[in-house]
Amino acid sequence: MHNSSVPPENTLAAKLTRMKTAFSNYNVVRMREALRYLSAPKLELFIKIPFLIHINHPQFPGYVPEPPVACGIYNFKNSGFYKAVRDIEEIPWNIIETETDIKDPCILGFYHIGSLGTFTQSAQSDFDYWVIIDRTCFTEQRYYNLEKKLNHIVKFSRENCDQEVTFFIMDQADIRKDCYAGFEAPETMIAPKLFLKEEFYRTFLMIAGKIPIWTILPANMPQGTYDRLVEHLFRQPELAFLLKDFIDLGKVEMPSIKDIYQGIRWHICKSKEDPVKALLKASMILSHITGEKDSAMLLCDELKQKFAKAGIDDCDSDPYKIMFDRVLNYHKVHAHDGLKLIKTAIFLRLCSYPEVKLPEPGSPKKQLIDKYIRTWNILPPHIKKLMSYPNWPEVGKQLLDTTLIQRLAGMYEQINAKGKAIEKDLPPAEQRNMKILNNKVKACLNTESGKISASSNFLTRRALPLLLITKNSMGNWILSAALSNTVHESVVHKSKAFMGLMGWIMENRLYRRNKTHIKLETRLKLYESRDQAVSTDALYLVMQPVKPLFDGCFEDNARWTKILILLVCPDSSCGVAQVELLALNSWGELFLDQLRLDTNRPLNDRYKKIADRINQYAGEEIRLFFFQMAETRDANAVYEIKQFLGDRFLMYPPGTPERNRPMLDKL
Amino acid sequence: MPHPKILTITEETLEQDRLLTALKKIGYTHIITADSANTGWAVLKTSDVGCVIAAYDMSDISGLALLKILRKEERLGNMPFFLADSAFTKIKVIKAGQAGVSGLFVIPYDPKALKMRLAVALGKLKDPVIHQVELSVKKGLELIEKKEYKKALGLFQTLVNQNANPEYYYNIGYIKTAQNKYYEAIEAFSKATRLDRLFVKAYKAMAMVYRAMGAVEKVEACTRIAAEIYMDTDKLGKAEDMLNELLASGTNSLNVFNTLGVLYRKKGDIKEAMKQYKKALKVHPDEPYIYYNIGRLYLDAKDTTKAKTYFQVALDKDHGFIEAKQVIKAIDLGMI
Repeated sequence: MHNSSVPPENTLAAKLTRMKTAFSNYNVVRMREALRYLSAPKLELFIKIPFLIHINHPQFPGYVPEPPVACGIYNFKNSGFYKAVRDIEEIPWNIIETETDIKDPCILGFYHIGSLGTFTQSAQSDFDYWVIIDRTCFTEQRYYNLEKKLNHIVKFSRENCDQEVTFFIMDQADIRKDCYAGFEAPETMIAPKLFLKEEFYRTFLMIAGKIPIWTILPANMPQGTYDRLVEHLFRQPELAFLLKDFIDLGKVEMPSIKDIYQGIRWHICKSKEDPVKALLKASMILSHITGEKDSAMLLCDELKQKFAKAGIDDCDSDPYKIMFDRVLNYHKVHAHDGLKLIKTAIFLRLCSYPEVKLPEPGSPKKQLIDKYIRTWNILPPHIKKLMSYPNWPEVGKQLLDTTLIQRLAGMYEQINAKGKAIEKDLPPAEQRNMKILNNKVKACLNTESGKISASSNFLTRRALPLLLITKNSMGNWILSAALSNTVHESVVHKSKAFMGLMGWIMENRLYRRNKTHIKLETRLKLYESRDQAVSTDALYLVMQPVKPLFDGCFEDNARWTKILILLVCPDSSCGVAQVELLALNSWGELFLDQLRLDTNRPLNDRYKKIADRINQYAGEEIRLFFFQMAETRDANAVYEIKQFLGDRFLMYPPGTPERNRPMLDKL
Repeated sequence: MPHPKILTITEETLEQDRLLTALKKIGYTHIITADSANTGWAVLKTSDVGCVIAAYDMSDISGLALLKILRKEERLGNMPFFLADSAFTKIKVIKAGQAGVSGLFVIPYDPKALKMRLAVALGKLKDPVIHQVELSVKKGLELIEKKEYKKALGLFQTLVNQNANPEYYYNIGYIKTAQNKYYEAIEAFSKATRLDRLFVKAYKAMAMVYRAMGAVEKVEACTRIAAEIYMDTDKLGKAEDMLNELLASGTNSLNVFNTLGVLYRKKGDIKEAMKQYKKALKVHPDEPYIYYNIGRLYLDAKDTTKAKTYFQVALDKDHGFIEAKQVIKAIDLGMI
């Protein structure tokens, strides 16, 4: 009901409209920053993506012919992206006009989340989108078609623009209550929900659809008031017209110990992908533990207060700048020992770690880094050292990564006791998620002997054209890599076993099947199940995927899943002299095992010894892959060894139901 | 575990030393020496020897004569026996062969040849009990050949009662087949395969019995299992023969075409594999596994795009096809 005594500029509608304007201002500023640093083809893709989701037309990527149609973004024709797409010449005018009126759009909100439009944006920045739907409007088939459509767009982006795109489909009701379950599947969400939403509100870019109502509510509301306020607003008839374009994606409130504990562990798991980013984010999370005034407000709320004042090249309203300030302050006051490392991490983050290079002159990023160099008094030799990071030897790079991860492990130790105490009282579903997270952390920090180690993050991210494997006079296997087509190979890893190198390549995904060539320089040949020699690609392929594709496997203890057995016969007259085993467990950990054999013993004895070693790997459903490294292949070896193996390794172990279906040539 | 003892017999001290050095060099340390065939014979009677190396010519009893004596002894008849000489003539070689020599060594000794032949010979050593049982089995087989099934069956039943060995059950199955007692034959062969799951011969025999019974589907199932065992143990040639045999018998089975597709993929023959999968699809155009297998074939060929298309068809046909879902995700993540 309208109160006539309140001046028009002070009505609720006027206040909300002002807030909406402030958010629009901020979003425009961020969008301009994003567009400014995108290359022309990536910019065109960025503009096209919402359009491709909105329509379903055979002429465009993302087309799914099967009914029911699953496309359309709410209010897309009123978005800036619709206007921008009209300027792309290759899209016929008639399609833009006639095919864009979608009666029942299946997407309520479409947002970009992450570094685009911030100081940390780089050429490697992924396009990560949140796709908000109303699950009640979907049948299983319609949801399947939506997933398929988005997958087509991901493929199109990767193949045509070399751009990684990820879509996270979420139900509006679920996200409101911080539930990130898949469609008709139990939730296996181990990400810290609170910080995920905080990051979303802090970094999201409005692309099209409904605006999150959080943007127009006051910052730092008292605990427990958000839901009541939103409910109240949506009940006001005079606000109906204004709020029809808004969506409630739920509150974000101050983190508890449980949230902080979960957040730290989550970033330990993410540290393999980018230890610098993980350390900064984890430090931000840990800063909340102090409960001091400086860290009493969530960063997204701090940013919201700056929406109205945001301007181009403005450091203070950058989502990452405020994070840097927060972690620096935390370290200055509470963790002085880690200050130097955190400064290094910020420096490297701004210099696009791991491809470290100074930001473009005159850019806001460069201005910020210059400011840090002055205020932190970083001396030129130190800057030079950091800037030469891409030329550091591989072991040096590994050492930096290890130091960053150890710091993360230290944070985990700091909060472990408090966190564990709280975990006991969680509901069963949450306890399951925590178990998954705990096991993932265990796998990340596991350095037990025999485990194949990690390479540097720098090397992992490179598309290597050539990997050279040689054996030196000391009998060690050497892996050299050419970092580009123009650079000579340099040694990146050594191992006493050939499988030690192959395992390292697999663990760190250094081999991309269509981009990398592995050259094996040895007089012996590799054999699989035929008399013709095979390439190292065959070895690589049978172990894929090394890393788990879904988190569910971490719910149970690690179990062996695959063993690659290499029979080495250096002299054809003596038979197998050595066995190298590369064992993979369900957590994606690779282990190397070796067995030297007495060539004076009869072959049958040696086969038995090999089988005995394989039999030591406990568990059901372990798949074995035999290879030989020899001058000529021993055609009977596999048969003879399998004679000595336990039933669990057989094709049809006891209890296998009679098979009527065809053989599955499972990878 | 130490290797079995080796007995070396020669009159020449120098040769004896050289042989000892050569054997030690290749890792054989349990050696008994004898300076004459007589002493050697005494050692053989009293000690547990695994192998003999004797000089061809010796003044008293020659190495060749000792070999002939030894071959007549039941306990020692199978023992590896090598003769050594600095100048083997053609006639010496023939005589040694007729006497049942395990191998000849030319003096001076070649360590490589010594190592290889001894490794093979010592690998063939049998426990005396096993030897005894083998003689019984041999006798049983001879009875089968003479079609004296009743006696043979009795013998194998006795062996089975002593020790459940897949070979015995196989022979019982064989006898029952010959006696047209098909159900009992199948039972015996099944027992054999339960004891040794890689026992291809038993599956093949079972297929023959089912053929005699007119159970075509069972014939195919048994033959296919036999072929898959061969595939699983990397004996692709034998697997291919078996499956082609099935095809020659006029089968039009989806499973046979599919298994052949997998086999040719393993052999690296992508074209032939595809031909077989296409035949399988003609029989059953909606079988998701075939589409998955074609996808797998394209992975070997490093054509990830085509591979994904086929995995996707497999998933479209069965939305719950976990393996297809996983491989598509792995492709999307750039793992393969």
